[in-house]
This record gives sequence, C-alpha cells and structure tokens, in this order.
Amino acid sequence: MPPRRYSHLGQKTPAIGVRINCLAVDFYRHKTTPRIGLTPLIDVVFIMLLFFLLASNFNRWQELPVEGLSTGGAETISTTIVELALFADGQIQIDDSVRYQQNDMAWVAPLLRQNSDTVFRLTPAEGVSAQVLIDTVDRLQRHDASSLLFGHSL
Amino acid sequence: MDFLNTSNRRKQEPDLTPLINIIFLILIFFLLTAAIAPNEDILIEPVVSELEAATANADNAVITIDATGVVFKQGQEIETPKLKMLLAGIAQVEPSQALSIKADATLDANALIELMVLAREVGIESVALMTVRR
Repeated sequence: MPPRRYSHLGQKTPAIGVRINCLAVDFYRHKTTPRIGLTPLIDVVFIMLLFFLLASNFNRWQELPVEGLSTGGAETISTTIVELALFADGQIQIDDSVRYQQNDMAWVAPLLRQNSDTVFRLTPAEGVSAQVLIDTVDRLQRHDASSLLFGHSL
Repeated sequence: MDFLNTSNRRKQEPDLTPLINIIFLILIFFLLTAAIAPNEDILIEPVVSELEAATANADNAVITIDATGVVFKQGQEIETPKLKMLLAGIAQVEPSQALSIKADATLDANALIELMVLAREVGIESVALMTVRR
C-alpha cells in the first residue's frame, strides 16, 4: 500500500502506517509546518485601536476671525451704521425700533440695497449666550451682511 | 475512519482573517482621520458655527473662557487682574501672533466681546473665536 499523503497539511510522507481490519488507524507523526501565531498581532492591533478610539478628537476647531470690535461710539466710520440689539431668544431690534423674530432676516436685503456699505453693529443684551451671538452672525453673513461690528452692553 | 484527522478539527476553528481585516481597516481609518486630542485646558461646550472658516492654527496663543467667565491658559486659571498683563505679554512677545479664544457656548456674549476688546486694546492685532463646524 502506498503511503498516504497529507498534502493539505503540508506533511511529508508519513513514517509509520498500520491498517487493522479495514480500520485505518494512523499513527503518523504529523510534522506540521509551524504557523505564525496571530494572537499577539491581534492583541497589539486591538490596543492601538483602543488608543486611537480614546485619544482621538473629531472636533475640528476652526477660527472665526473677529474683525470689528467696538467699544460703543468711538468709531469715525463714514458709512451707515445700523444698530442691532440682540436678545436672548435671538430676536433682533433695529435702531431701537422694530424687533424681528430670530429667523426673519428679510430686513437685511433692503438695508443693503439702500447702501451696500452698511455696517451692522451687533450689541447683545444681557443674558445672550455666545452661541446665540454666533448663530446671529451666521444668519447675517448668510444674508450678505458681512460688515459687522460687535458692541457690548456691560 | 480517521481518528486523527486534524484537518476537520482545524476547519471548525473560526477563521479570524475577516475580523483582522476589519480591525485593520478601522485602525487605518483612525490613523488617517483622527487628530490626537491636545490637553484641553478645561472642558467647555464649544460654540458651533455654520460658517466655514480656517482650521485652527496651532501657533496661535489659545485662551479658554468657561461658562462663568473664568479665563484659563494652558490649564491655569487667570485671575481678572492678571488677565490684562497676560494679554499684554502675548502682544509684546509676538505682536503678529493671533489670539484664539475658546469660549463656552453658554458664556454671556458680552463677557466674550469684552475679552476680545481687551485683547485688541493691549495690542493683539488678530483675535479669532474658535468654533466647531456644525
């Protein structure tokens, strides 16, 4: 009987083989090819993954340049300044008269049509948060009101 | 009957290759996309903005102002009387250096503007508010 080949195991010719009553009992010495243990590799990769998961920061900080800072009336700007009072609920009052709701920005375009150099001085009232201020700046800039001054009421 | 058929036993072991593939992919994703978080001075709720602005410059001097108006620089609380000195120091050492302010979203807007005005008054040419893109 020719020696069995275990080519799928990468073995060489078996050394010993015994066949008893059609029951093949293999006492072959299995010379398996040494396999590289993947466990340490997986351990290290898991540790690296955990490190990056814990140490990563997906907050992409960006810088919003603040150009116009005003202390209230010392400016010698010749262009029109529209005074905007900002309230905690996001409402905007123009020149101490009309008050507009947070999302009503229809008043911006007519003012800019009258004078494209119009400067808006945004003065937050007491209790206005930084987030409300920046939201308002976002809305103003979306409506092309990019010339902004910041006043403060303290 | 092959009692020592080790190949069958081996076939029953779970194949780890797809798992390792996925873990490697996740690892590469984190390596490429994430930035290691710098030591934050203090935990604040960042101001969120829809406007697209320049990415934060690592060379800028950064100060943090929390919800109560307390100012921190590199984890150290700056008392109000020393704040002007600190800002003046920044302006003197590197006049062209911009000052980046990390403000808590719930901070009073007037306190924030006051801080920015103070920075401008002591000679810091460029003041920026650090925000997070919505």
